[in-house]
Amino acid sequence: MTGDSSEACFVQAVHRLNPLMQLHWCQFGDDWVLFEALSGHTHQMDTLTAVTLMTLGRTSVQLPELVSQIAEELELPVNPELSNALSGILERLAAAGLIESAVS
Amino acid sequence: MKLSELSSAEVGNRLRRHGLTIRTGPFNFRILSTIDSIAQGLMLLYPDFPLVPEGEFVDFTVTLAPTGGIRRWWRPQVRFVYDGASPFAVLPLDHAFPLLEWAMNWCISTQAHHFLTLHAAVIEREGCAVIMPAPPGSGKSTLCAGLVSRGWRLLSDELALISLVDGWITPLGRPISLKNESLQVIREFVPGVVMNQVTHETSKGSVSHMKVPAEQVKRLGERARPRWVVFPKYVPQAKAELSLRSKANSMLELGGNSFNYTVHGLTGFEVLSEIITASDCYDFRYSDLDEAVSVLDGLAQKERG
Repeated sequence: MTGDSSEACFVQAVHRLNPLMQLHWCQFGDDWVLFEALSGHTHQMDTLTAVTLMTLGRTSVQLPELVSQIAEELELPVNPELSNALSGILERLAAAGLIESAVS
Repeated sequence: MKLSELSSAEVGNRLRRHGLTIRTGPFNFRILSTIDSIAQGLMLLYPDFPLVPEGEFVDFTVTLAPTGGIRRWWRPQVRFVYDGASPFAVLPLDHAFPLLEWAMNWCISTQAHHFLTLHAAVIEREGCAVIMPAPPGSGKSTLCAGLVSRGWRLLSDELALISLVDGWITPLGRPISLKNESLQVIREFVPGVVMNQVTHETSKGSVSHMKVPAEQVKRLGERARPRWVVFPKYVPQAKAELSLRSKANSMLELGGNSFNYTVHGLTGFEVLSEIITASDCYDFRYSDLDEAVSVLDGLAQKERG
């Protein structure tokens, strides 16, 4: 698979919270700490990452829809920068096993 | 009854026969040993600690035994025995007293899961506790010893025992472990300090333990509320300075410094979260102990208003 097709797959993929996850949050200003009870892992994250994960906990979405939802929630402009940032966040969350991404 | 009320002969007798049982904070330790330096170290460093009456529950029974065979005469060694097992490697006999201290820490950190236990020093003033987690070599114990000799009360120099119910910290009050350069630093900083004989060539270098003032041992029943989390770091020539640090990152660091955070799961997370919410978190660079004490005194003064 080429880099381009891989990227296209990622954009088309539907992302959702891993249904096994049991998330517990605490917030300190712009910093968030997440405890995942199944693994016992604790994660530190910024607001963008935390809101992304919370959004995926409510609904399964593709990247473009996620971008518009997050932009609305955090009052950010919809632009490629936000899309790239969220794309990176999704990759990191998937690598940590917190979300699942599947091509629909 | 306190340990100092026993004669040295009686201390030795108890250690050799049924054990000498002392209370250190919330734990009763029964200590068994035929080694003279154990008796001497206990009499020097623990004279104000209460003895536990016969028949009362004992949390941990620790034995420091000389090894047998040819080793009795040729480079004698000491073995820590707990529940019939020897969790540590045998050490030279002159390491017996530091080994006892390490063994007591091991008992608590591996088994006392009714607390959330952090590898951290804790000191208190005005009922407010400073939690000082830090890796070895950061100057945590030196700073702790300095503060304890200038009006701060020691809760522990190694283990923060945090209640799973309300997040308050229970004192242990055991002697402060010092090593290498810090031995001389504290001798100069605390005139008349009582320290055990120095043990050289341990895995930590040259080590000794400093006696805790008697008036602080009397207050071992008084818990303290966490108010500050301070990450100390000795930096040569540095001006003593506190700088605010991320609460989220401080919480992760506390979790990483805990012996049993993962054992407690969600409860551990919630307790740490409460502590961090209630605490100001700082990095603290220092080199001069007088300056360091003065900066931390400033925190307590601000709290008093």
